[in-house]
Amino acid sequence: MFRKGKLRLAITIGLVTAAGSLGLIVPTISGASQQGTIRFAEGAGASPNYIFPYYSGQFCSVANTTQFQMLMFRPLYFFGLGNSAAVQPKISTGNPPKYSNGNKTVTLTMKGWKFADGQTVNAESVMFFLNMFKAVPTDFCTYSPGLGIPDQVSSATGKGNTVTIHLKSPVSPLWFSDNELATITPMPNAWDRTSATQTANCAAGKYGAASTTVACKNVYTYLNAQGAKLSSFTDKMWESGTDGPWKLTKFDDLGNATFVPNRAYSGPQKAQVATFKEVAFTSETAEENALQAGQIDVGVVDPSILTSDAPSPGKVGANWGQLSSRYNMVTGSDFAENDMDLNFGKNPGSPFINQLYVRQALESSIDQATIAKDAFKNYAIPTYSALPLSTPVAESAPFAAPYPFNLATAESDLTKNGWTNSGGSITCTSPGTGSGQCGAGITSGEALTLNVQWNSGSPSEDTEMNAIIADWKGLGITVNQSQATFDNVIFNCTSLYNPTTTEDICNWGGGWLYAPDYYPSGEPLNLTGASSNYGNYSNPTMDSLIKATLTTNTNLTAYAKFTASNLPDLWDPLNLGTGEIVKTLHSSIGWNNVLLTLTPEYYRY
Amino acid sequence: MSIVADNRGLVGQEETPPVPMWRQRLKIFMANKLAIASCVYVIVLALACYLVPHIHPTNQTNQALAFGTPENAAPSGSHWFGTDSNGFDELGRIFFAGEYSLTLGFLAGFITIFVGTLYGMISGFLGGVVDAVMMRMIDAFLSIPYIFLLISLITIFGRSTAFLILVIGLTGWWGNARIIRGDALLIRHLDYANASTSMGASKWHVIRRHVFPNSISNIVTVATFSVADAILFLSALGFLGLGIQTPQTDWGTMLQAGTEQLQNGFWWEVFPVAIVFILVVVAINYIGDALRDAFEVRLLER
Repeated sequence: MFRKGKLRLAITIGLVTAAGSLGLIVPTISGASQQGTIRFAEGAGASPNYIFPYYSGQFCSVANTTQFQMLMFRPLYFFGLGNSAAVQPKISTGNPPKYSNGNKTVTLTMKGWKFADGQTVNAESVMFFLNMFKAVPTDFCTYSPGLGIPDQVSSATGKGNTVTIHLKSPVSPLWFSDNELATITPMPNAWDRTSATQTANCAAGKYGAASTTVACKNVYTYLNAQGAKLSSFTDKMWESGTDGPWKLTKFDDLGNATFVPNRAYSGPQKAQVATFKEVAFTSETAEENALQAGQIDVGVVDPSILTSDAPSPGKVGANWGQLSSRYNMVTGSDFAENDMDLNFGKNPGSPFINQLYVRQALESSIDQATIAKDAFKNYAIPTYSALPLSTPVAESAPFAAPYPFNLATAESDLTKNGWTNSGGSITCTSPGTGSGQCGAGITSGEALTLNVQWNSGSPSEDTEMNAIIADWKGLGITVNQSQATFDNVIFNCTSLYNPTTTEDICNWGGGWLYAPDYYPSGEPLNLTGASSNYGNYSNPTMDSLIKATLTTNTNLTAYAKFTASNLPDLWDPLNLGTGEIVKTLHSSIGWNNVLLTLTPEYYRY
Repeated sequence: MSIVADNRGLVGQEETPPVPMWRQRLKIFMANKLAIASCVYVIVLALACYLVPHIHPTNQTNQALAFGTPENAAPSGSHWFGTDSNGFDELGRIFFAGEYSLTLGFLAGFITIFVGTLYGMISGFLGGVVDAVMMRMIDAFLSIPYIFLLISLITIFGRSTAFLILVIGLTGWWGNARIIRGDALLIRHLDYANASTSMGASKWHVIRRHVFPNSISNIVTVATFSVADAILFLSALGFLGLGIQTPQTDWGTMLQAGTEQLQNGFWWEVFPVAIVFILVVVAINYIGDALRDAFEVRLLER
C-alpha cells in the first residue's frame, strides 16, 4: 500500500549508462561483469526521506519503499517482477507460508539468507518485525484496526528458521499472505538498539509480553528518528541490515542516492552494473533537461511535451523528438487506483465533503475521458473505483461507472439538495438535514467553497487540475487552489497527518499502489481508523464490506462498487507513464513493473 | 567699473521670470526621445493589458473549454500569435499575463522603494550606532542569495498573488536603502539642514522638509529600476515554476512553458512574449535614465 507518485512504470526501470562505453564513470571494480552506472531519475519533488522499513503512512511512498528501501532490505515475500504482480518465491527471503488449523495457524520458514553483517535472516529477524508491529501498530502504514497483524494474532513464536503464527479467527489465506505477511521485512539484530551504543531486546522478546512491548517502543523511537535523518542513511547500522542486491553508499540532502552491489546478497540475481544512482529533481522540466543532456539513463517525460498522442491507452506513440535518437519511450499499467484525497476531518469544507450528493456532483463534473486524452495525450485511463483496472475478473467483475461525466447531473445533484446558483456562485438556500436540504453543518446563504491543493512540478497535472476546477467553478463552487511539493501535499494537506489542515481536497499526483497490500481489499485505505486512511473517511457499510473479504476468498465486487458509489475519494485518470530508457540498456524482465518495484539488478548494458 | 556696468545692465534690462523647475525637468525628460518612446510603449502596453482582456476577452483560465481549441496551433487568422500547449490563445495570454506581471511589478516595486526609502533615511539621518546596526543588517540581508531566498520563502509559504507581491517587495529594498541612506547622510550635514535643526526643528521635520525633497531624484530613479527588477524577479520565479498560481499566469511562467515547446518548433509560444517582456524592462530602464537626468540639478538652468 504505497502512495504512488507520478513516476509510473517507466520509473521502475534501471539502466546501465552509456558511461560504460564512454569509459568515463565506470568505477574500478574487479570482474568484468559489473560495469557501468545506471542513473535513474527520482520523481519530481519525491525523493526518499525514510530508510527504516517499518514505516508509518506518512512515509509510505513508492519513493521510500519499492524504489529505495527494497533495493537494500528484502521483504519476507517479494511481489512484482516485470509484468507480474504475483509473489516471487525465488527472490523472497521466506518460503511460501503454510496454513493449517482451519486457516488459524500460519507457519513460515526462512531460507537462511544473510544480512551484510553476516547474521542469518532467520525466525528472529521476522519476530523482530512482528514484535515491533505489536508494540507500535499505528505507526505502520498498513495497520487496520482489528484486522490481520497484530490485532488478529493471538501468539507468534520463532525458532531457528521457523515462525509460527496463531490467529484468533480464521483468515483468507489469499488476503493474509498478500496483505499481512507481505508487509513483513525481516530485520537484523544490529537494529535492536535504543541508541548508537545501547542494545535492546525487541527481536528476541516474547511476542506480546509487556517487557517486549516496552523494549520495542524504545527501539522504534530510536530507529524512527534515525530513519528520517537523511545524514544517517549511510550509517553502518543500516548497512548491516542489507540483505538485498544493493548497498547504499552515498546519500545527500537533496535526495541523490548511490548504490553499489551487495556482494553478500544471497538471492539468485546479482547486480550486473557497478553503480546505481538515483538522481533527485524538483520538477519534471529539470528532469527533461537532464534527459536531453544525456545525464539520465532512466527517466520520464511529461506528456505535455509530446507532439503526438498515444494510439490508445497502454500503447506507445511517437517519442519526443529531442530524445528519440537516444531513448526508447515506454508505457504500461500499474496495479493502482488513482484518486484525489477528500478530507472528512475538521477542515472548513468538511460539512460539504460529508454530503454524498456533493461528492457525486464533484465526481460527475470530472471529464476523465477528455483529461486522459488531452492533458495526458492518451497516456492515461479513466478510473472509477478503489480497485486497480487490472484487477482479475475473478476477484472483481467489471461494472459501469456510477457517476460518468455529466455537468447537468452534477448541477442537479446540488440544486435538488437545497443549493441555488446565483450570479455564478452557488449557495445553500435550504439549510437543514431533511430530504432536499443542504445537510448537517451547512448554514443558509453559505457558499459551497472548497480548498484544493495538488502537487507542483508536473505540467500535465496542472492541466488536469485546472480543467477539473474550471468545471467545478462552472457549477458555482468557489475553489481556492494552491500547490505544494509531493511530500507537503501528503503531510500538510491530509487530515490524517494534519488534523488542522484547511485543505479539503488533496491530489499528490497519483493514487494508491497496491503494495505491500497486494490484494486490493483496501482495508488500510478505507477502513475506519486505518493507518493510511488519509482523509479520515468512515462508513460502517464500507467497513463491513471490507471485513467480509478478509475471512474467505470473497469476491471484491461489492466492495469495489461501494467505493465507486460512496466516493471515499474522487476518482481521476490513472497516468500510465511516459518513461524514457536509454537505448543501450537491456532488461531481462522487460521494462514494465506493475508494482513500480525497482530491480536494477536485472538490467545491463 | 565693471560692477557699475553690471548694475546698469541689470537696472536697464527687463527682468525675465525664472522657468519653473518642473518645466525645466519636463523639458530635459522630453528631450530624451528613447524615454518618450518608452513611455508610450509602457502606457500603451499597460492599457492593452488592462483593457483588452475585458474588451475582447479570450478564454485564458477555463482549461475545460480550452480542451476544445487546438494545442500548439501556429499563428493564423483566428489566433494571430497561435495557441499554447493547453490551447490558450497566445496574444490574449500575453495581455492576460501582462496584467499580473505589471500589477505585481509595480506594487512590489512600490513596496521596495517605500520601505527602502524609509529605512535608508532613518539610518542615514540618525547616524551613529543606529546607522551602523541598521547597515550591518542590510549587509547580512545582502549576503543571502536573492533568488535562493525567494525560492525558499515561496516554497514554505506558498505563492498566492498577495504573497508574491509582499515577498518580492519586502526582500528587494536592501540595495535601495543603501542609496537613500547615502543621500540622508550627506544632506543632514548641509547648512540648511543644520540651520533648521538649530532653529529647533524636529528630526522628523528635517527628514520630511529637507532630506526627502533633496533625495527625490535618487528615489524616483531607484523606483523605476525597482519596478523593472520586480518584473524581472517575478518572471524569474515564473520561469522556475514558482510564479503566480494557475490558472493565472505571468510572462515568466509563459516563457517557462514556451521554452519547453520551443524545442518542438513552436516558436510563437516564446518569441512574442519574450519580445514584449524584454521591451518592457528596457523601456522602464530608459525612463529611469531620463528621470535621473531630469532630476539632476546640474542640468537645470539657474
